[in-house]
Amino acid sequence: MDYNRLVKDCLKGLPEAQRQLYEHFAESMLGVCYRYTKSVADAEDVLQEGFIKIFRNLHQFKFEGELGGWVRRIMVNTALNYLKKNSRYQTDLSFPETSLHPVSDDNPEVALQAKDLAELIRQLPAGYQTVFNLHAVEGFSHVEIGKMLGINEGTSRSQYARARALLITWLKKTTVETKKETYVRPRI
Amino acid sequence: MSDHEFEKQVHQKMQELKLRPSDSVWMEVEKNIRHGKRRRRFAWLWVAALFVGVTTSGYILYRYAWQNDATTNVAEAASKQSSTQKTTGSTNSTLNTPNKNNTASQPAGENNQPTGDNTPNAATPQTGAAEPATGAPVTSAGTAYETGNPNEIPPAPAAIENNPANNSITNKNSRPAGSQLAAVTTDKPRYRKKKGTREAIVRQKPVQQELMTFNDAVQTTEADEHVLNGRMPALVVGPDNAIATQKAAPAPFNSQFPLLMPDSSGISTAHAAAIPRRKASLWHWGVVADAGYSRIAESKLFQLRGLLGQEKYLAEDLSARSSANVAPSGSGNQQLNFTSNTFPVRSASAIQPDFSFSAGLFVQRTLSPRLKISIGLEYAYMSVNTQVGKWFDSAIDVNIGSNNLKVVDHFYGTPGYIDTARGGMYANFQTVDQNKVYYSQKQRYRFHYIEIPLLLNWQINKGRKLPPVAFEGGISIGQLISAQALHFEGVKGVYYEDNSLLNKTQLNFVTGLNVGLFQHSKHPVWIGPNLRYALNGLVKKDVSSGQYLWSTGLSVKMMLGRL
Repeated sequence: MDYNRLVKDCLKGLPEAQRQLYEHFAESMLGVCYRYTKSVADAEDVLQEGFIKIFRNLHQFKFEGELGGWVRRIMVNTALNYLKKNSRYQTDLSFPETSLHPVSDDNPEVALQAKDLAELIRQLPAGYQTVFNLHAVEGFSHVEIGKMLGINEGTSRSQYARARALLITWLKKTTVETKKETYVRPRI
Repeated sequence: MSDHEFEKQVHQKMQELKLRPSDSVWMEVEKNIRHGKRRRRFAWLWVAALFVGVTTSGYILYRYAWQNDATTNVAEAASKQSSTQKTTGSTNSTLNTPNKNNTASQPAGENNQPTGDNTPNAATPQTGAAEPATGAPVTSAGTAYETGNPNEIPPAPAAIENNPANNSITNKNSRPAGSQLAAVTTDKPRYRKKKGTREAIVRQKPVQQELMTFNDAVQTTEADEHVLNGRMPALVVGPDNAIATQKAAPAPFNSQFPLLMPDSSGISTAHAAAIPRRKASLWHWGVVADAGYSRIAESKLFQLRGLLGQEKYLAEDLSARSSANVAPSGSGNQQLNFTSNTFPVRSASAIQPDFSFSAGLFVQRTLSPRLKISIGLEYAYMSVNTQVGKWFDSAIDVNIGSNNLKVVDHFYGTPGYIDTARGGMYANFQTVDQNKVYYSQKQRYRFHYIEIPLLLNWQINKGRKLPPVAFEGGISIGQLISAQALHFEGVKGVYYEDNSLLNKTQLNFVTGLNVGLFQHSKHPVWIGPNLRYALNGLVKKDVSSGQYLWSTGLSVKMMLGRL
């Protein structure tokens, strides 16, 4: 797909191009939003807000990087803003400051489907979930995450380690139960 | 990202995650982007319609004023012609043979020059030559009332109208004509005082110029001519006006018009005794100044909450619309670490109103007795203030707009407690600590503009019994020449300076209500409240959802003279 042409057509205000851009990224971006939120409705709210931002600021796209990466960054930041503003996530978004965090080199095989893995990630507390998504999936360093969330780098590391440990525990449990063909949603 | 296998697998799995959104998402997105565009388009249409309306109204009023001027010019020219004829008639009784005294028989220089003495007989015959062959005798009435003899009365307009061809023939016993014109020209005391000095005055203005004025004025529509003809004789003329009516037209314009046409030789043969009378200029100039306070409104245009009340607006968080990824930066960030256990959401301080003033010059043109238009050049100063925290002289990167990041060299924190024992970190409010110091300081934002206001001024009342009250409104274009302002970044809770984010050009809506004082003095004064409201945002729309600077105060305008 010629992204440059698509963006230019969108900037001209062509509805077909706008629809095409939306269709192209909507599914993968809803996957991104889904990982950061606790419900599909919230994910769709983030997706909607993110696309509005994208279309309003499309003129700022420099045609230098990948359009997909640019869209993804906007969607991630929109999700973070959504979490900050939404009171439902405020209570869960706690980042206890500690320098001690569990260290685990366990690297279990992830045999789950993407949707199931995303479901597990969404079961994490909101703070864990956010840090885990930013580090493991988006690839941000802990320094970057600290700046984005306004927390210490150490806090980010700690949160991530706890999230990782918790997720691995659930994964192992889920894998065993999947083998037994009886899936049980893990409890937090 | 970690090099662990687990992270790689998670990353790969999550890249595959795709979910189909419901149709309502796109509908909402589409509605929102369409609505935004439509709203912007209508906003421009509204401004364009306002501009067209104001321009059209101004043009119509200008035309109206011009037609009034034309009427005055025609009347003046006619009156001059009339007075010339009368003067001529008093000295030459043989003017009923017009071809005899053609201009060709006279030196050209004499046409424009009166004789210089008080018995005009040498230069005036040409005027008689300009008349068509009416065959009627010319009386010496003009001389009589020029010398101030009250018994000599100029001809009555009614009698002249009955015989349109009889342009210059006067009747001693008839009443003077054209007192209406005398009222228009309003310099009858001058003639009353300066008996016999008209010849000297005539010299000041060439006859040709008078003819041009007349010809220009006569080029009105047929309807205008009817109006003029109908108006001319309608006045009641008293004996006292006789002196003034020596420059009034005793005949309708349509019958006088041929008098001023060039003759067969192409030379204008109407040598009217021109009356030097400078028409009052419709242009005035003066100085204007206002003082009051200014504020910043957010989000909505014409949001005047807090105009008189205590409601305040918070500084806009420019990072709220940001979607930038924060990259690693210098050590300045380390000083802003929160000890709070909750997600750090920081709010800005309230923006408080502060002093504003403007001063400048203007020129004003009178379009009609009650309508004026003015344009000026002003310097405007506006300011607001807010509370900020400690000043940090270190670099920090801040989110700007949707996807921008900028490193600033120094910044202010939000007001709060600073733990001096921990290297300037923000302290927890709940803990009691001897090392806590509360930092809060007043920071004034200053904006300096050069503005060009274009205003329409409409006088509401006649201003006879009560002082005149005028409503004015219009637009002004301002250019930011200097600014000292901070922007707020909510993610890190910092205030930073970046003038490149400010709109350099401001389009303002200006309105006011003025009361006129000392209207009979040489320098009338208008005083009253005014309001200036920016129509475009203070900060560029790429990064701001809208901050509108507005000011209100008391305006004083003084007329200094005519142009």
